[in-house]
Amino acid sequence: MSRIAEHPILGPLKPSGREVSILVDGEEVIAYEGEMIAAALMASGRRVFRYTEKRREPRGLYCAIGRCTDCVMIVNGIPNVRTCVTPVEPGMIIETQRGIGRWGGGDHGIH
Amino acid sequence: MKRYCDSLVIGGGIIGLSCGYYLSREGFKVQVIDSMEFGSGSSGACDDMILLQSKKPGVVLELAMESLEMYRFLHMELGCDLGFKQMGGMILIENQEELAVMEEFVSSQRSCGLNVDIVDREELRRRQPHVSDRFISSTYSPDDSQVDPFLVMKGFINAGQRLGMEVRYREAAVTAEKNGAGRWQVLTSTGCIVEAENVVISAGAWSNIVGGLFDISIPIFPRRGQLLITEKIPPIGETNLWSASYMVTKLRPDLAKVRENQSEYNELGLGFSFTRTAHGNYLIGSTREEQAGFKKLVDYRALEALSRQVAHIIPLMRHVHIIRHIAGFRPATPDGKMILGPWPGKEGLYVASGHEGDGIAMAPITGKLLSDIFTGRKSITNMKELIPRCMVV
Ligand SMILES: Cc1cc2nc3c(=O)[nH]c(=O)nc-3n(C[C@H](O)[C@H](O)[C@H](O)COP(=O)(O)OP(=O)(O)OC[C@H]3O[C@@H](n4cnc5c(N)ncnc54)[C@H](O)[C@@H]3O)c2cc1C
Ligand code: FES
Repeated sequence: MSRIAEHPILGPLKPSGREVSILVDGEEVIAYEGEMIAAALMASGRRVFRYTEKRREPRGLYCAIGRCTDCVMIVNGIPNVRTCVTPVEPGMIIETQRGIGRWGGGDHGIH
Repeated sequence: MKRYCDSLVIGGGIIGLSCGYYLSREGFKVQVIDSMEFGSGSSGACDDMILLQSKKPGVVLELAMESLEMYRFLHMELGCDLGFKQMGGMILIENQEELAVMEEFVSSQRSCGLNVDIVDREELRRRQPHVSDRFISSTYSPDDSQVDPFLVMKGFINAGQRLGMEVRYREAAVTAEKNGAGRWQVLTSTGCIVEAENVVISAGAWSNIVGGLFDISIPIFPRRGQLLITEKIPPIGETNLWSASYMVTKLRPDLAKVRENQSEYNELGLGFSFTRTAHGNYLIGSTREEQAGFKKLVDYRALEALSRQVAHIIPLMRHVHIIRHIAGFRPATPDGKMILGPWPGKEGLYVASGHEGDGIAMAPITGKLLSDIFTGRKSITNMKELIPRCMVV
């Protein structure tokens, strides 16, 4: 895992939640419950979160504060979820979004 | 400065531009003026539907069907894409009472040749898997279609200009009088006088204000509509959607259900429409407000009511982001029919307006009928019900 262990302003890394497992494009990733999905993905070395609609270009974290919508992914079957402001929950299913994405099955359990 | 033309069209929304185009096609020298910018009126703040299913049998339904036929080929005539799409439409039915009213309504429409049916719960689920289980059945018509109003307006402008039509925005009609030779002299906000044989008032919800310049009182008033626009999302269901409850309230006021927040509901005139644009955004509508006058504002109450309504009908929509909230003024008339034709007692003055919630659908047929009137051609349509009439507002 690559995380900032010693942040110049925030200080040392002190994870607030317990370790949980989520599925990213079918692969298991260990994350801290309550951290933002994007943080967990970055820590696991993932940089590409989606591909654009027209030119299929890769996009990932950009503003990191929920404004630009560059980081959206399909989360529990719902497309367009901003991963930089959506907290990790145990067992979340996360998929790379292509274009406008698609609706997944299941109970769309995201709040 | 002075300009001359055969026909001056006041108001450059979709109706004025259609009138301008069809008159130019007949060889008239046409100028269109509009006090605001391209698309500032209702034609730039509305849904995009050519909806046949909502219409009672009669002249309005007949005209809508003719207009739809014109739209099928209009892109070829205007030489550009108009975003025409035929996704079909369904009107959702929640209970047996609504079903009874809609069955009767649909059979009267079928007898006028409209391609519409009632489908059962299974077919509703199959075509609309995300609609709440609450709905027991629905209507279905494969013919309900849509266009992009901006592309249609651009198409009329470009094709009209090739025929010599002039279009000027930011130029309002300010005063009007007749000269000795019986020609209209319209002073505009740019200080120009436009001399014209004929004047067409197509100023949408503002038509009665423009009518005042000609000392006439046109029974058209603004009925504000607010709607929400979502981000681009994957398709939700096969067709566009409406709900029967609003239509049932209109057809059978005695069956209107009493709600918790009835007075707010009445004030907002809440109805449900849900349509997918060519880009994948959804338009969620809409309100029909009588008391708002010309206040082009959106309010939190409507935002909340529209959001609550769509989540109630399509629970999945709770997860979708709203990116815009807009308001437009439908040009409404007391009897719900447009006003089209020469104004009695005012030679050379015509009105083409009052389309309320159907101006996009009715644009081609309106311009065509007006040009038929100008050229004295006999229209197939029975126009009697549309000619300017006195009505108590
Ligand atoms: C929420 C909502 C949803 C709708 N959905 C649909 C739909 O799905 N399908 C459909 O068919 N219709 C729909 N409509 C109705 C449709 O928008 C209108 O019927 C149509 O746009 C009317 O066109 P218009 O050209 O008459 O008016 P407008 O587009 O309002 O144009 C009138 C123009 O006159 C100009 N004007 C005013 N005063 C003057 C003056 N003194 N001098 C010069 N110009 C002047 C204004 O600037 C304006 O541009 C909807 C409307 C709303 C509000
Ligand atoms: S990175 Fe900008 S919204 Fe998430």
